[in-house]
Amino acid sequence: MSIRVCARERVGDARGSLVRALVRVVWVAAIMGTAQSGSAAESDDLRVLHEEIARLRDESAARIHDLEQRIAQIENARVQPQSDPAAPAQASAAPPGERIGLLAGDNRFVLTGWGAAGYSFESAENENTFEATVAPILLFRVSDRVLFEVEPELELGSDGTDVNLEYAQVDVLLNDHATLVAGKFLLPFGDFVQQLHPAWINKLASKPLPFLEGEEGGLLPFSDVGLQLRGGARLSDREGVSFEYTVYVSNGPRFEEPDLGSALVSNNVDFNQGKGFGARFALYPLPLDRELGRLKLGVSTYDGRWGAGDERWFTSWGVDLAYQIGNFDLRSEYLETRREFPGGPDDERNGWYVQAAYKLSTVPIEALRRVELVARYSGLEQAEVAVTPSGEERAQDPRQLAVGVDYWLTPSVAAKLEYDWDKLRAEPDAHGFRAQMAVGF
Amino acid sequence: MRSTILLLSLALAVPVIPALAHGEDAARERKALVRQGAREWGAYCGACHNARPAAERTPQEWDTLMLHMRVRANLPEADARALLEFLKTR
Repeated sequence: MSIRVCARERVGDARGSLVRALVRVVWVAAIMGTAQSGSAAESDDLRVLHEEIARLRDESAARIHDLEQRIAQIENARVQPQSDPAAPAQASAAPPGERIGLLAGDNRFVLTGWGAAGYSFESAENENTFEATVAPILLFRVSDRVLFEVEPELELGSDGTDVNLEYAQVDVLLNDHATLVAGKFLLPFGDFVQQLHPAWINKLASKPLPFLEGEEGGLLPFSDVGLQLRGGARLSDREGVSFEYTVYVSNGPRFEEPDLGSALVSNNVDFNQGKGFGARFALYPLPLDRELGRLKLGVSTYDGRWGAGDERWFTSWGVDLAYQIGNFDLRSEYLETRREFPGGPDDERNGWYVQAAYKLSTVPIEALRRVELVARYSGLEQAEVAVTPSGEERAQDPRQLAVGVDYWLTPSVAAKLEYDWDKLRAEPDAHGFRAQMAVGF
Repeated sequence: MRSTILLLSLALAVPVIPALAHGEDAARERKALVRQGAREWGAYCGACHNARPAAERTPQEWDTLMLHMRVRANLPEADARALLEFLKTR
């Protein structure tokens, strides 16, 4: 559309130039005519001016004709349907640079993503603050089998705006059952990180304890850099019965510090020679026509050497479950991690959450039909109590009960209220309150 | 003379009949895909998030978005194709 408008503007400019030139010539002619009336050179000057006008008119007409032809070409290209059966033939005949465009059609670039704004109060951290996050997802379909996708996340931090590249990956569909993924990707472990963490999908404003990010104390990194092979296939002719798999090699785990209880951080540039290895498999056993709901059962693992220059391993495994039927949604995940410490006790941790939600869309009270009620219980445990150099205990084996009310303005816009009750092993109970407006776009 | 015209007409019509049948088959197949996509839309998309209405995006945008979702959710190819056809009906 912008090319067409631009071309039309150029035609308008050309016409404007012609008019301006004619006006100038008329003015000059009038002045000269007044100043030199009766002079012998009058007829010669007028002849020159007439010639100049004729030349300008011819030039402008040629330019306008050329631009109008280009507009017609652009308009014809735009009305060509994407599914035109002649497109592949045109594509094969086109120069390489235009071939992909003809095959893929328009709107190969799509902006999607999510954003959230809210308020958070946590008594334990003495936190009382407004918050905002935005994570645009940019998709570029190179062809029907190649996609580039990137998600930068921008979040307000204590020292300014924190910018984090959540993922930047190229997906190549090798065949119906296998896709090669290269780049930085969300960790294919469990359900929450890959599928549920965007604010408009997560039914609560907070994350479950095992899946907090980085220094917040989660058990796994949110993303890693490497190669994946992933896909899915039906297990029978009946709709809904299928499986999915992911195997990957990556830069592997990296910890903020070499001591017990330290947090995992991004390993964007591998700091050691060891790589990370992971796999995930999930099964969907229920056929849709039985109307028994949608059930997913998954298992995951993520392992790699975490030390620089030695054989100390970080290993992890987890199981996850998701079940939806009608307005009811149930999710649960459990995971264990083990970080080897030669000569000392290993750093063993586990975490879990159970979340249930129910949409009130069928209740007789109209005002409540957009409401969804949510409850989640999550926890973390650490076998060895970690003590920092300052004497602070890191492992508090926290438990958190979070309850929330969501009001869905549209299928992708929710206003959320959440109350958290936190229990820690060696400290008084803590409380939290969150309000959030989440938008998926 | 009349029989010659009849034979000629039949001879001309023969190549057209399979083409018409092929077109009808393609239309029937597409309708079946749309119906399958409509059945799967709530269950597959709703497994993670609220299913987004087809009218939110243009058919061309759905081409790109479904490619993204097929990779993210490891959707079987047959199901991804059905969902795409349904979403493109708007």
